[in-house]
Amino acid sequence: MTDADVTVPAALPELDPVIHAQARLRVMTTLSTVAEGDRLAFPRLQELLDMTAGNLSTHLRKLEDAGYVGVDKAYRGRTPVSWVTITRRGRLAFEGYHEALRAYLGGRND
Amino acid sequence: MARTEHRDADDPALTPAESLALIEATQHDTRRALGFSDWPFYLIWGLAWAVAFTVTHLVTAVDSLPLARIPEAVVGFVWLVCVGGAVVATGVVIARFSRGVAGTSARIGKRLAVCWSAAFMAAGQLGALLGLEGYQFGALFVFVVALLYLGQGAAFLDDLQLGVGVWLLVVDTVALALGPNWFNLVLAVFGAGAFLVVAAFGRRSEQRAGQRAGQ
Repeated sequence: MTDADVTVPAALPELDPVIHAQARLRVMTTLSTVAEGDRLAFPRLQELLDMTAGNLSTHLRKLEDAGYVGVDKAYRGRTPVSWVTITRRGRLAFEGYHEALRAYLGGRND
Repeated sequence: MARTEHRDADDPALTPAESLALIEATQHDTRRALGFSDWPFYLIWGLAWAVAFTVTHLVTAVDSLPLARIPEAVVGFVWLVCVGGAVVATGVVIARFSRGVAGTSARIGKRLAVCWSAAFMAAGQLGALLGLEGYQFGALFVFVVALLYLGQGAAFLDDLQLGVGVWLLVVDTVALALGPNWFNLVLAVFGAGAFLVVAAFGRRSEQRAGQRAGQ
């Protein structure tokens, strides 16, 4: 075997454990795809992700604790509405995560 | 492929490739659900213009002989149905895509609605004050549409809207220069036709993006 035959696998990147969970990755991807300055009503986000309210709330709390999303409660008439938005820190974290994946997979030879 | 460290027992761990695929699929789904593609609007208005301008061409005298005998009231009704229907359909599509979304894009949308309405009301008044004939009125409205597309294309850095604006300016000028006998036909073929072509390409490119994202 020559040096040319040896493929060096790219190092597995350190992936943000808050984002690197299937449900939270979908939440972060959805919120980051929404135009900057926009926010989504909780039921709409739930519908887009096809998640139960309890499950989505649990994951949003973890993302909120990390400072990645903001949840604002407001009233539309007498109906309470929660608005969910990605924070600047969250957007940067998601972009870093996405870039790390692309760099890793782009650098792999298998 | 190696699975990365994962701390949620109730959520399956993903490989980097699975994560990237999930991101691409979710981005595609979100864009489609929130109406990031504008081909439905080109389709709606392309169909409305195609029917309305074609019917108007049929009743326009070419060498003093119209191609079809349709009462003027019917032509007016066709325009009302086409434009009114397109306005309602546009509103329904926007409402469907934008429900549950608030913030900057909703504010931009409201301002754009005001701009389009004000521009058309002003064009109507201007045309009446200038005593324009039917096809000249049409040319004025197409001119306003072209300017609005140019403005939106410039503001949103959208080359497609900029291109549509330029194309409509050219088609409108040529149609007006050809006169009342050919004005409506030129708009039906090259104005409505352009909208329909843009809609077809937009839909196709969305479908391809869906296939790439593993839909």
